[in-house]
Amino acid sequence: MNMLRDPRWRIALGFSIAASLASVLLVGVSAWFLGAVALAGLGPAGYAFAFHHPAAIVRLLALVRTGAKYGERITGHSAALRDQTRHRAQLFRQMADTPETRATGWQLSRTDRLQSFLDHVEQVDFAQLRSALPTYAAAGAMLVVSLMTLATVPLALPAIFVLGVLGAIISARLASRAAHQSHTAEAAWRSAAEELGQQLAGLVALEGGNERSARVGESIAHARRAEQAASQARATLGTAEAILGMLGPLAAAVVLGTAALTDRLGEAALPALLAAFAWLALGELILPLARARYAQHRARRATAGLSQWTQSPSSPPHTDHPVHPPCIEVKDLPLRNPNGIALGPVASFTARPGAPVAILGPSGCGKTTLLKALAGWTPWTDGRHPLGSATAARVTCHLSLHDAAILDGSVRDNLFATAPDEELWAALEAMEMTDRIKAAGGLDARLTQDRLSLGEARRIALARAYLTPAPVLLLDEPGEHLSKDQAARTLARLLAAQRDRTLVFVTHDEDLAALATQRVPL
Amino acid sequence: MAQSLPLRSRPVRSDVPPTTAPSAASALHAMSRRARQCALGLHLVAKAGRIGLALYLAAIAAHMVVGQTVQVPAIWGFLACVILSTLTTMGAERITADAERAVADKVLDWFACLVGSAKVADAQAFDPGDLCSRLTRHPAAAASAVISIQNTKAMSSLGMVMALAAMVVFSWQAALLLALGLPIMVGFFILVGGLTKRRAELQEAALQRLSASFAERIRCLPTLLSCHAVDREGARLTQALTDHEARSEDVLKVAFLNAGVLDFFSSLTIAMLAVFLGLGHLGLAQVPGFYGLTLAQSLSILVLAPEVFAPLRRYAEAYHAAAEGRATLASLETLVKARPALDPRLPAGHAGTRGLVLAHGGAVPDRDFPDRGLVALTGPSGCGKTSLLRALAGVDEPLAGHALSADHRRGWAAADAWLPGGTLDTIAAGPLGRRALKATGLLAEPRFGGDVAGTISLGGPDLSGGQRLRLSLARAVASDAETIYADEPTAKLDTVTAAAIRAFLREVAQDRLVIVATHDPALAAMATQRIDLGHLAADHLRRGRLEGGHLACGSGDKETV
Repeated sequence: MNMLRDPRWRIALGFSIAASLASVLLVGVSAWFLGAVALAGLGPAGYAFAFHHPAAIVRLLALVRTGAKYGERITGHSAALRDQTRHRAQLFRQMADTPETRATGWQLSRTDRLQSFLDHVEQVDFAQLRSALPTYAAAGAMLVVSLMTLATVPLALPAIFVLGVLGAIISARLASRAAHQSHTAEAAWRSAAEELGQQLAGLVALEGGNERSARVGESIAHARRAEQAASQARATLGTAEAILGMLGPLAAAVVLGTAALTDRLGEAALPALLAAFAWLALGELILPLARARYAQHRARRATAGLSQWTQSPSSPPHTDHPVHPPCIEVKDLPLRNPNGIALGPVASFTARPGAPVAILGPSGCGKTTLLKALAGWTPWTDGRHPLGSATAARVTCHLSLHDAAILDGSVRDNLFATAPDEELWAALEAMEMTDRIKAAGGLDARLTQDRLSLGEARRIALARAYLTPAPVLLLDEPGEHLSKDQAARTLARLLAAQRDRTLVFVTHDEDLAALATQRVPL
Repeated sequence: MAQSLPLRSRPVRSDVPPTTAPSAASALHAMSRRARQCALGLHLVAKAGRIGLALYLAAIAAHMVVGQTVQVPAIWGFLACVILSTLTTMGAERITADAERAVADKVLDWFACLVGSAKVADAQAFDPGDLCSRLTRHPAAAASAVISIQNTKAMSSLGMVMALAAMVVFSWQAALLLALGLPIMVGFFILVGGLTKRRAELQEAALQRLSASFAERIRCLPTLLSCHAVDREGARLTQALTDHEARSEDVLKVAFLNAGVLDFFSSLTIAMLAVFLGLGHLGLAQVPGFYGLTLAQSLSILVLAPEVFAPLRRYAEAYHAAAEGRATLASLETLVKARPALDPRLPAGHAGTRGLVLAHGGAVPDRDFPDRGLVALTGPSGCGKTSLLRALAGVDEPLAGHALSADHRRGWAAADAWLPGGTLDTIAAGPLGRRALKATGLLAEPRFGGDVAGTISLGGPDLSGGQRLRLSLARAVASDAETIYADEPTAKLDTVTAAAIRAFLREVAQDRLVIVATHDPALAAMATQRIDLGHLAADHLRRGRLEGGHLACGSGDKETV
């Protein structure tokens, strides 16, 4: 119903109803007209028949139908585009604000997950155009044709009503079943893609353990189930359309039959002709309603799917970085892994500006978890957050993720800095990326995730840390994907450049930890 | 031992008869032809039913007006057409759905072959993310490309011909008028299509860029948050969306002209026919074919007119899907080439190597491995330890020569191993599994809560490399594998755990053959046999080229510790 509150959609709806009315009336009036002239032509009144008015009305209806249909397409798409702009911009903001985005591993960095997310976004984007608009237009036309029937053959209405209700119930049921089947299919596709992704990552091990085809067979079986459910959904929708397609002709027959039974023959049958052929034409407009209902179901499910990313719209207040880098004092912090299981011994340390702290430990001991908690990305469970609050921490900290992404954009865009070009080049030089970026075409060259090696992506992420104005820097495995020597060189330069900041980094490499003022083994 | 080996011809992959592969598209077309034609036949009957019911309706109406009677047989005819058309439509949909499912299954067979049984290197040539996303889209898209889209295309011409043929019965002149209108309409299509093609392409490209830029920012969201760039990128996104919206509206005005032409012609023909036939009835104009008709005939012509245009509209709606289908079929060509690969190793009573030359690492000396014991493949990073391990396990095909295989059942332990989901005691089951879980230190890990009931989800996405390595080792040991291959089993571990793993490997090697690729000298020192690829590589470099593959064995050769 929100369609009626929006001026753009109101215009589109107006065009849409005008187009459907014109196409219904065009057929109805033409049939009536032929009947009338045929009767007139039989007698001597033929030459006296006022031919021009009905002929002009028929031509006018044809033009109105064409024009309104064009208007409906333009205004409907333009309204849908406007909704898309609003929806996507809002979705991006909401996703940035929701705790889910920071807390867990970012699943949307995976192609298959991202694709299914985008499918959901698209299903919501165009739901109005695909489902609400045709439904309202058909309903409007149906109302007018019902009124015409009421005025001409009122006794036909109860039977048509029964037919319509039956048709509506059956097709709504089928459409909802089809939506359910396609939902099943989507879920099975998701598991298939997810499992296949894991199998592709461990393909050598699977083959080495002689279980590759068996395991891959399992994920393909998910895909087969998905295809089966999807094909059932297609057949169900097809059945719904076949049933809906018969409603128009049946209603037309009911009108004619009722007229005959009530003895409206000859000239008296002409109004019935008008109503009957209008119902026949309405059949074409009813046909897409099963699909519209199906699209509505899917949009509802897609909205539910998206809601996990838009849980909390509480936007943290944007504040400027504090001028003085704060100290971070951590006392007796029990470490937990992302599942909440307590890990290893407690940690205590104090990070001061200019005195970098290295947290050292083997993988899986909770270093990344600690860093994310320090950055305010996950709740700080033990007392007060060392930086005041999680919100304050998010504003204060630059977190260098070990799996930092490269944005498809220029080098400049990817450094996220407002500094002048010389400083950008200095950062790239410090991270030993100058030659690579010069070869690619300078600061405006386009970077993508695939074109960089893991080590190069790591060094771009370190260059971001090199340039950040944030008073607190938290680095997760700064040496990952780099050779030991290069890791030590680049980290030393980064520590020198940001020596006035509070800096904590985690590593499993003793040599890198040696660069810090304080080492905290876990 | 090497000489006594029955040297039967080795089942190399090139010996597999190269099946003359029909292209993916033609294979799918061939397998679905019969069902597709069946569905098309039913669609035609359904269309005939729809035309029939409209004609019966026209006849009933005409007789009520002019003859003042009700034709009872026409009512029965009408009902028969309703039932016929409904049932055949449902039948056609069912057949189409089943046939499309069969085609999708065939495409999935290709996926299963590529990922499940073709050469590992062939499967790894594809981008994993892309392959996963194709798995969910391509089977259905390919199926509708070869079946439903083909049929929609066929119906758009056959349905039109049918409606025109029915019209000829009443007035061939009216049918001719419509038929003559069609080329004019197609001319308009081409004209408008030509005018809008460039803009439509630009629009399409802009749309793709737009959704890419949205997707890209969603993908990078945590990085944008960590670098405080959400505001900047959010503003850019809004700007890009707004620009796109403004530009689209201009383009759409032109792009929708095509659909407008179709609407214009279908509306106008109805109006024209009504007016011409009306003039004929009144005797005001005596146009042949429009004059002297009964009301039943003229009403029939009127109801047939929309049926001429309806199939064309359906085809226009399927136009985008058709383009997508063609692209899908084209991209399946890369997939359909995959062939199941045979085990490249030569079956023998024991494991070993014969004239083995690796693509990465060069020639390997001939060796025969015992049934049980620890074999260490050593050497500096990048010298081909893992390549040799893979060749021994039959994962990769060597450049020349072959590995010997004795194992029917093998296990693989590595930091990137795939793991099933479940509890520890289902992943490494039985007393052996429990022993392995304890020996590898997994039971002491807080991650699993110190209990065999500790769970991991499928694939173990949250496990560290070290945990994954140890769990895969425990799983291999708990299985009935005769040979266990382990890639760097002591890397990524602290010294205490590494020592425990070394002791455990030695224990396992008392009953089975354990082959490890390692740079851990302590582990190598425990080995019953050792192949030092570092020496081989140096030797290989000195000689500058390969000589038949057989190189002298490195000095690390020793029988027992």
